[in-house]
Amino acid sequence: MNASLDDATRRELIAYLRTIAHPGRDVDGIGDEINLFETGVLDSLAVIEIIEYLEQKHGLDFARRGLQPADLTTLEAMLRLIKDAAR
Amino acid sequence: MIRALMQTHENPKAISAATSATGRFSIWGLASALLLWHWHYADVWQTLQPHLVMMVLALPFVLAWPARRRLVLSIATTLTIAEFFGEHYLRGLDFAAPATWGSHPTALLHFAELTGGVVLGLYALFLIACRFRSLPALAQRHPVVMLHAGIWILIGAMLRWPQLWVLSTFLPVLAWRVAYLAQLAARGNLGSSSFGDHLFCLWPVYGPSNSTPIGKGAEFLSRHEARNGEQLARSQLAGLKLLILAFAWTIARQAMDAAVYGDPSSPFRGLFGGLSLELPRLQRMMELHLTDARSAVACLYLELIRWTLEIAVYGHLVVGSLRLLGFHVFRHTYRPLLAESLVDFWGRWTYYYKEVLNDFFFFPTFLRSSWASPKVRLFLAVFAAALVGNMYFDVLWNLDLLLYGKREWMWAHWGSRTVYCTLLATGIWVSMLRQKQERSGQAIRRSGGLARAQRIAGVLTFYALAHVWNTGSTVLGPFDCFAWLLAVAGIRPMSM
Repeated sequence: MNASLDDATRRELIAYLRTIAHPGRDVDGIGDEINLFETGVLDSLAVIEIIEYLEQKHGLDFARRGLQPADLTTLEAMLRLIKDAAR
Repeated sequence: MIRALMQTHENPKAISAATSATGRFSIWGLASALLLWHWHYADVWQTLQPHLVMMVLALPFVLAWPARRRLVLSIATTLTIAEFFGEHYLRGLDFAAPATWGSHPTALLHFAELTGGVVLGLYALFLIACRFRSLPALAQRHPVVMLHAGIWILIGAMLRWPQLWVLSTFLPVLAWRVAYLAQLAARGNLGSSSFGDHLFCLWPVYGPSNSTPIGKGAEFLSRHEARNGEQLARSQLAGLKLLILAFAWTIARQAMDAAVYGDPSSPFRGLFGGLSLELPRLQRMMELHLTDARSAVACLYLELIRWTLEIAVYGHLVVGSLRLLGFHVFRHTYRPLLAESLVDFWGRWTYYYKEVLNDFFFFPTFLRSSWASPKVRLFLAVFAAALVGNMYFDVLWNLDLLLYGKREWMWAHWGSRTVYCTLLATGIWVSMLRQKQERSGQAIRRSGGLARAQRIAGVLTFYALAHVWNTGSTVLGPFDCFAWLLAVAGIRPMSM
């Protein structure tokens, strides 16, 4: 994935997370390595919504690749998953 | 004032004070006083009691040598295993009268063999996990399923040879903790960890000899482990806060026992001058076929509150201990009575129990059912966790019922539990669908204090009613529970 695609993916992901974040919690300003669940930006229901989003939008097959606990906790980890899937 | 006190673990001055020698000594002193108070006065769950004492003994070593935390915990774990088997061994020797080591001097040798055997057994499990990639393909693909297949082979052996029943005392304790180890090995995350990194999670010194793995496994604990003096101080202050909360809830529970149930063992009985509502506990009320509507309604809600207090005390003591040891993990119970949705209550009531069901039932099902529509997919995952997982967990925890083989007991307990789990699964599924709709804007959540109060009341009513099928009675079957509810509602009198 080149840099511009990276940026576009990042923007799309943040836009999606904004729709499932707790009201009043800022997704845009949060760092890539910050745990979105421990900081209360996302809750446990958000995990399944992110899984569905990544499967549908980026074709990730979690049934095949499995899911590590840290895979969906930070923006950086989610972007890494998308990048791996695009290879 | 109270808010500031509850946030002490975020106060820089308090953190700085807690890192000093005097601060560490004060933390140990206060924590020990609270742990010992619960051990001596608070009639906490019996499985937790020895751990409270062991924590008091282990804590000063952890405070003095935080970098040697895992070594201290491994030694303390071995002592905890010894204590566990010592108690069971003595109980097995003489049911009629309390036995002592003095009355059975040769027993000490057998008991030492048993303790050593268990530690060696755990070491063998760790070695198997380390050689995960050499295991048969089936075990590599489904490690947790294979682990539980092994457990059921042992259960089969127990049914055949009753002398193996001692296994039933610790199989449920290990089942889910070893499952976390297996999951870690399957992910290839075991890395260069040593046996000592896992022993204290497999048989936790922070308590208890119970099947819910509070603190999950080594991976989860490592993620939340204090890396420096400041993090340790923050974790310990947060741990102290939970012990203080446990103390407060224990006092509230004892006051409730005196005022509501007229419990003669409550220290508040005398203080209230013997005044009490004299309500029976829910299980007793149902078993005695008491159906007065007002008493029954009060009993249903109060049972939920009392049960929540008990769980909160237990969870706070365990998580508080973990935090004192330097593992700053989430609470087991977090204000469940203020939850505004069924799924929210479930996550706040017993967090680590929910996590076991999520980790081993919900997510595996959810990930494998991408073929289904979103609603069906969620239904399958929720029912796999809240019904199938919940029932399976309970069967392992109540192995005695299976071993004694009394069908009427099994029907009463597990029949009723199946209804409870089905209600729970249905409620959580509907609640999750509704939350999804609210997020996508398809449903609107009413705002304001009244709407909030209505939502909280709805959640409490659901769980209070569902609890009718979750009293643990081995007398009342699922239809008896339903008949009791109908009789309370005045729809059909209860036949005696």
